[in-house]
Amino acid sequence: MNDQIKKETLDLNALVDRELGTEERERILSDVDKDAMLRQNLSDLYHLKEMVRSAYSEEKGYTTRNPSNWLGRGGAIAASVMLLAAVFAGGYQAGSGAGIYGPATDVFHLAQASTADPGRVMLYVSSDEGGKFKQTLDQAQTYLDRFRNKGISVIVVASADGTDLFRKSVTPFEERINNLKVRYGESVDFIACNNAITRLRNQGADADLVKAVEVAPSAVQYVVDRLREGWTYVAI
Amino acid sequence: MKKLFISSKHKQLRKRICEQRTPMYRVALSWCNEPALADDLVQETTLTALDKLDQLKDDTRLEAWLYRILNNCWLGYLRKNRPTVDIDNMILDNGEQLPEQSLQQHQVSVRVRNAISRLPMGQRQVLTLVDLQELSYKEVSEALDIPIGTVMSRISRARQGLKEVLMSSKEEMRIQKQHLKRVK
Repeated sequence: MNDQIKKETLDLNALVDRELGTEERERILSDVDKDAMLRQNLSDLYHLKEMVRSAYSEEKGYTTRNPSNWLGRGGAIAASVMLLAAVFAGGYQAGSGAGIYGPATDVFHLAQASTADPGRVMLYVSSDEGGKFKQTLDQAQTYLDRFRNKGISVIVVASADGTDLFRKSVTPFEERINNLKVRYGESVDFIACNNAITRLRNQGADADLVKAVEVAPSAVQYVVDRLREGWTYVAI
Repeated sequence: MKKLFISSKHKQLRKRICEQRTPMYRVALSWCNEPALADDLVQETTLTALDKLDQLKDDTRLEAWLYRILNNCWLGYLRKNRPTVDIDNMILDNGEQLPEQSLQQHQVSVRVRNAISRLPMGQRQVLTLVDLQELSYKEVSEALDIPIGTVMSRISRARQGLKEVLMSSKEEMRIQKQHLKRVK
């Protein structure tokens, strides 16, 4: 176990554990935004953290049996402590948020299914490979149609090459996206990543967006924040 | 007057200690994998903390202090029962599977707990204090009496190890399912 751990791995773990200051956090998020592998690694770390938290969330606490002997104490004092503790013991709130960014793996889908809120779904798309733009909108519409009466909320988040879904000059789905927004109102949101848009503009590309689309400063941070709020994450 | 103030302060601290019993139990269980032992550890920690409350210099460090006591109790148990093992690198996989239930949540929990139980103890302690108890790296450093750099490297390795175990167990499950289908 003497192999060196990469600094970026330590940084990602520190990010997940909220150990970083604002400046350092922004720098790492900016790196993550540009690098698919880092996004996947960050995704995995958030999932793992949530899985660990969830694994013990059902434990209600200590038993009421008599203490065993190895500790060498017990008896009346222990019993009174137990009684006192029973009065004060607080419940445990498992943290919200389960999945994250990047193509999710099966193991993480499992964890996600067990902890996230199925009534709030976030679809993330990062490219049009294999017709993903259409799949994303089809899936969003299916959720909205099927669960509208149950108050479902859907967010479609696009970043990296997925931003093309929302670019007026290249998307074939402008009308469909606007129609979905008109039809479902506050139940659906479309979010583009400002970092991706800035990169496009720096390259001289047209980055005007479809009317129904809003912009978040960083898609990564946006996804992370929603996960903390308990949104279910689906990578398309 | 001073005595009254101390008494009230102690009362509050006692309450906070007792409120920590359930979270402490979860952490202890993740370390030792045995409910009865976790129960004992929490009980011993609680008694010690209540007994030595005067030694707590800074109320805001209560959690780190408590988990330091829990760690000492755990090390005491290990010294008594497994004296020849390097504790930091010890792997405590008792091979005991919790009863299978149809609930997906429980299945996931069992797999994750088993995976955690296969981590070396030093990594497991850091991981559970950070993830279950949400202690900061600095608090974990104080509780386990290790440098912050060690906390960082252990949590990185723990998560990497956990990921590998979970991914491989997922793969095993997939293969087993395929095998069952063929038999059928």
